[in-house]
Amino acid sequence: MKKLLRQLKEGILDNNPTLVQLLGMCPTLATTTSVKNAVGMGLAATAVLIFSNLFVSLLRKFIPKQVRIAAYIVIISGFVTMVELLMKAFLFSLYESLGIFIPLIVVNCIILARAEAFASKNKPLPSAIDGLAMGLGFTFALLLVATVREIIGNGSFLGVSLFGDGYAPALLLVMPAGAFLTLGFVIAAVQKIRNVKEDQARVEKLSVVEAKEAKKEETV
Amino acid sequence: MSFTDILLLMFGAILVENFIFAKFYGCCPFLGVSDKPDTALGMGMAVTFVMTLSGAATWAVYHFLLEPFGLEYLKTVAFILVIAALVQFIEMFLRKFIPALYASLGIYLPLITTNCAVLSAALLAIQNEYSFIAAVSFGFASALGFTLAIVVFAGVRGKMEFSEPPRAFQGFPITLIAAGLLAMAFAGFAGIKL
Amino acid sequence: MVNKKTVWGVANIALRLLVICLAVAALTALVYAVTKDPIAEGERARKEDAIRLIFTEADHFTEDTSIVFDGANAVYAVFGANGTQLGYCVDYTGNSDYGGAVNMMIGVGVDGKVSGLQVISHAETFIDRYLDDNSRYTGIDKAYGADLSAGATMSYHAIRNAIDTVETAFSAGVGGAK
Repeated sequence: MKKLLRQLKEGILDNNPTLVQLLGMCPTLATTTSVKNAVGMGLAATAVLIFSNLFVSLLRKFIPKQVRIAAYIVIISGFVTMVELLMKAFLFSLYESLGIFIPLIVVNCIILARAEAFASKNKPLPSAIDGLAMGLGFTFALLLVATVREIIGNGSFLGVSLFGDGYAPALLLVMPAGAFLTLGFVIAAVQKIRNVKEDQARVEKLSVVEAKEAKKEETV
Repeated sequence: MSFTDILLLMFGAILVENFIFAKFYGCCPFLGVSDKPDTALGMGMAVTFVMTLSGAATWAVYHFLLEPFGLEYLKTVAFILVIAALVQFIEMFLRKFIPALYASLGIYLPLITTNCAVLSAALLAIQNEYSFIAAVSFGFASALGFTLAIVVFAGVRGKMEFSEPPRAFQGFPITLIAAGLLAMAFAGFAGIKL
Repeated sequence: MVNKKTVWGVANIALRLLVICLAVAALTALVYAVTKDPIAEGERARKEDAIRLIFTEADHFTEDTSIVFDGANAVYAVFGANGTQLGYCVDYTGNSDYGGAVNMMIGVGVDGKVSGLQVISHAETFIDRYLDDNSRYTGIDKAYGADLSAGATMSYHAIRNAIDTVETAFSAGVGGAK
C-alpha cells in the first residue's frame, strides 16, 4: 500500500511527466483552453496509459527486443482507437471539443516513454499503477495550465462565469501564444519550487558536515 | 480542387494555420531541436521529406485499404505504422546514400515517428476529404511551415544565449515564453482570406 | 550467406509482432462492434434535435431525394402537426477555407430563404464566437459555446458560404424545390 502511495506521489509531483520530465507538450498547449477539455484529455490519456502499460507489461517477455518500439506503438495506437470510439459513442461533446488530439494521444511521448522505461521491466500491477500515477500527473499539469488560462483568459471556470459580464477577459491567454506563455510561467514556478527545495537540502547537508567538522575539532 | 485552391491551401498551412504557432503540432521537436539553426534546418528538411511521402502513403492506405473494407476506424493504427515504417526506410536510405545527413540528424530521425505533425497532417487530410494531390501538397506545405517555425525559433534562441534570465526561468520556461512571443507575431496572419 | 538460424530468427520476430498486431486489432474490432450502434444512434438524434430546434413546430419529416446539390448530404421536407409543410432542412457539409469540414443542418422556409442553422458537428477545435454578432440572419444558433482562436474566422466563412449555397440552390428551383 505504501509503495502504491509513493508511486502516486512520484507521478503527480516529484516526477511529473509534464512539469518535471517535460514530456507531452503538444496536448498541454493545445487542449488547455478550458478546464473541461484539459481534464477530459488528461483522463483519456490516463486511460490509455493504464491499459497500454498493463498490456506491455503482460507481454514483456513476448515482445522481441529488436522491434519493441514498433510493438509499443501498435499497442498504444490500438488502445487510443478504443478510447476514441468509446468517447464518440458516450461522450460526444467532449470527443468533439478535443477533436484531433484524441488520436494524437498515440504520439504523446509520455506513453511511449513509460512503456519503455517502466512497463517493459516491471510486473503488470505496478505497471498499471505507474500508468495511473503518470496519467494523473499529466492531468494535474493540464489542470494547472487550464485553470490559469480559463480564469484569466475567459473569466470562467468549468464554464461557469466568475466575474460577471463586466469582466473583459485577457483573450491572449486562450490563444496559441497564451498557451506557450502560461506553460512557460507554470514550469518556471515549478522549477523555482524545486530550486528552493534543492538549495534547502544543500544547506542542510552543509550544516551537517560543518557540525561534524566542528565536533572533530573539539575532540582534537 | 483547382490549382488555386491548392495554392491557397498551402499558403494557409504555412502561415495562417502554422502547424506550430497556431495548432501546436510538432512542439516536442520544436522545443527540443531548435537550439542551433543548422540542426533546425536539417530536422525541418527531414520532416518535410517524411511528411510529403506520408501524405501520399497514408492517403493511399486509407482509400485503397481501409475504406473498401469498412475499416476506417483503424486509421490511427494504420497511419502510425505507415509513418514508422516510412521513417525506418528513410533512415536506411540515408545511411546508405547520404551518410553525412544521416550522421548530422542523429537521434532526431527516428524521433520523427512520434512527431505529432506527421500524424496530424495525415489525419487532417482524411478529415477534410482532400484529394490525393491536395493531401500531398498539404503535407508538404505544413512541413514547410514547421521548418519555417523551427528555423526562425533557432535564430531567436541563438540570440537568447547571451542573456541571463532568472534561475527559475532558465532552460525550458524562457524557451516557452520566447515561443509565445513568436506565436503572437504569427497570430497576425489570422483571418487572411485571399 | 543467409543461414537457417537467421531466417528463423527474423521469422520469429516477425511472427511475434504479427501476433501482437492481431491481438490488438481483435480488441479494437470488439470495441468498434460495441460502439457502432450508439455512435449511429447519437448522430441520428443530433440531426433530429437540430431539425426541431430550427422548426419549433416540426412534427415529422421525410427525406426528399429529388433535391440534390453539392454539399447536401440529405434534404428533409419538414411538416407540422397538421400536415402543412414548414419548409426543408438540409443536412449540409461545408468546408472552411483552409479545410475543416463543418456539418450543419440548414433550415429553409417555404419561401426559399434560410430560416435557421444549427452546427451538428465540426472538425475544428474552436468555433467562431463572433458568429452571433455578425450573422445576417435571425434564428441562427450554434449548438455549442464558442472558444476564440487564431483560426476562428474560418468557421464563420464556412457557415456563410453554406447559407449562400443553400439559398442559391433553392432559389434556382433545384430538382423540384418549391
